[in-house]
Amino acid sequence: MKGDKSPLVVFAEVVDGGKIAPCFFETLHAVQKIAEIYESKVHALILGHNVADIAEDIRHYGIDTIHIADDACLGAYHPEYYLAAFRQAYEQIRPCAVFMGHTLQSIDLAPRMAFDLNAGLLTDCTGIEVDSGEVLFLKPVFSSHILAGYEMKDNPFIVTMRSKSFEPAHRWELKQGTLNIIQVTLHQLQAKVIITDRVMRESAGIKVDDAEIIVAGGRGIGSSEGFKVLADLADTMGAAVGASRPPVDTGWISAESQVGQTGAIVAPAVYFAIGISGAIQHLAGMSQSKKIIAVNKDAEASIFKVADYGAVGVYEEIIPALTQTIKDNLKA
Amino acid sequence: MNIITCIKQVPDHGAPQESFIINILENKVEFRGIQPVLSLFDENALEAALQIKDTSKEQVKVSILSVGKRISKPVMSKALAAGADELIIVDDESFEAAQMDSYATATALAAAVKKIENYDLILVGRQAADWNSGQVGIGLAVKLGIPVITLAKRVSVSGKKVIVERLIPGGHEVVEATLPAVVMVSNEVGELRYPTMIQRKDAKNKPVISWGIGDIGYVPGENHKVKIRTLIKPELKHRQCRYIKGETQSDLGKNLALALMNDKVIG
Ligand SMILES: Cc1cc2nc3c(=O)[nH]c(=O)nc-3n(C[C@H](O)[C@H](O)[C@H](O)COP(=O)(O)OP(=O)(O)OC[C@H]3O[C@@H](n4cnc5c(N)ncnc54)[C@H](O)[C@@H]3O)c2cc1C
Ligand SMILES: Nc1ncnc2c1ncn2[C@@H]1O[C@H](COP(=O)(O)O)[C@@H](O)[C@H]1O
Repeated sequence: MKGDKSPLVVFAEVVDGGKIAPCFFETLHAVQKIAEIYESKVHALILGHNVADIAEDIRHYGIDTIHIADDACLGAYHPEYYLAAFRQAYEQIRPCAVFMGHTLQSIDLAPRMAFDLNAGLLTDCTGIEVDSGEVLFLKPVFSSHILAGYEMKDNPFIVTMRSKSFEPAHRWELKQGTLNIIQVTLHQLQAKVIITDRVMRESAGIKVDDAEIIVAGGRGIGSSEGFKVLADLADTMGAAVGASRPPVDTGWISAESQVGQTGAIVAPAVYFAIGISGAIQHLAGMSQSKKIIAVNKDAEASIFKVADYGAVGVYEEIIPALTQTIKDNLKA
Repeated sequence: MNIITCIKQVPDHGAPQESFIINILENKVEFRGIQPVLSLFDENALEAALQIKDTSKEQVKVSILSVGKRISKPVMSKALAAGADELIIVDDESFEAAQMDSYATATALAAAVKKIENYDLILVGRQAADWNSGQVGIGLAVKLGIPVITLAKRVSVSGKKVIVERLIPGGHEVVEATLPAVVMVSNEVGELRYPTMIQRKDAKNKPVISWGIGDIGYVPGENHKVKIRTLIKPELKHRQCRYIKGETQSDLGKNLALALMNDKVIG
């Protein structure tokens, strides 16, 4: 990458019909640091429909050029339309590297882009490091027991970055950078996969991504009824209900609740881990929480090693008493 | 209908940190005293295949395909015991983990799939539990020139189409593609079923096909897109845990609440 003066592009993922994904600002910050080392320009790329306002807003972040491909075919994510649009934008920008947040969208899109460009891809990177003037990208491997530092050998390359691994980029009062509209032609594309329906879950309560307090349960909760006991505790505190992987596998709770390496990466003020053993893939998603409270019947469970408070016993008795005491206190 | 499920053998992802050793001279990871296991998401992929087999009116054959170096048949027989019909192994010394990036793996798998020839659906895991790359399924589809659907929480087949409930933020979308296709499976599909004693016995009589790289026409290359420069063992930060005391279990709950409110953690 050294010596290449072509820009570094940060992909700005549009979510919820009109916002930039929060992890864009974190990825941007990491890329700004890389750009300093290589003296490169930082560009952003937005694919979407009716995204002029979002583009205008990210001019507050010190980006040199913001490329916009706005097309009716890009209103919601479709892998083939997005790949085609990306490729057309790529041919105009000719970046030396593309960076994305590691999200459900980039899990699908980034490998498609990489195989299309025949480019190297590193997914779920959690840090960067400089080694003799060259940037290395850090990624946890082997159940996060090993941290590997990768060199991306050829340009172009693609890196996706785990959310909450970098501080968000600074927002300046002043707007800067130019907007560049990229014309894409997509309507004649014959998509191989067809999206026939979108089913949004009725949002029952607070999402783990936004919560200040999370009450998470694991395999030890035993059933979806058990999760009602946790929901009761969550309700008294205005908390979200989270989970480790097994309750999601077994359908006791929906996929959005999963916390961990392949679920949500969270850092709330308070995290209750109940009936969760503390596997490293779970810790990867919650160990940055400010206070961690563990409830587990096994005194040897690893979760106690990362907890600030611990109660050894069965949740069926401990949690209702905990909830009741908090409720009584609220009344008093 | 023929379903191929791609399964990678990986060092046990639940093993403690001491089991993973860094060889600084050769810049690679070695393993001490850990058993190989089926990569966890690949078990979900197999479960998805078996769910289709359960419900299909047609005859469904589920083949396991694994490429690697020194693949353990006893480890793979777990997949046969759970309900797969045959095991196809491509074993070669050149399939050293450190030499196999996603491109090389996708190329080798595509070569093996072309030799299998008769297939309708290929299921892969969301990511392998060793390097967690999450690229091989898409690479395989690109190399075969067939559609790929990712992040499946439910997979079914209707006629010549695969129908997938695919995870999106806040819900799922229903996506379909014409077979043959690749589907990448996530854990929401469900855990791999547990085999009975009889199934475990029967597994020993199921066909195991062993190929070498010559059989599939794969040529190992040195075409690496990424290079590992450093390997370290990060230290997990431990915290000082304050254990709550109490006569009974409900006292524990009450005292925990009081401690948290007293320390202004909550309330
Ligand atoms: C590539 C990969 C990615 C993964 N991603 C994730 C991820 O994103 N998130 C995740 O969580 N996992 C993930 N995992 C799975 C992870 O390795 C563990 O298998 C999982 O976290 C274990 O969940 P658990 O702690 O709920 O279950 P277990 O390990 O089975 O622990 C259950 C705990 O409940 C306790 N218990 C039982 N009954 C009670 C009771 N009545 N009261 C109190 N305590 C009780 C037990 O003592 C035990 O400690 C991943 C694995 C791999 C390989
Ligand atoms: N050596 C292999 N043999 C068989 N399947 C594999 C192999 N490597 C990867 N896969 C499949 O590809 C998926 C994604 O792997 P990866 O891209 O390496 O994270 C895995 O979950 C497997 O289903």
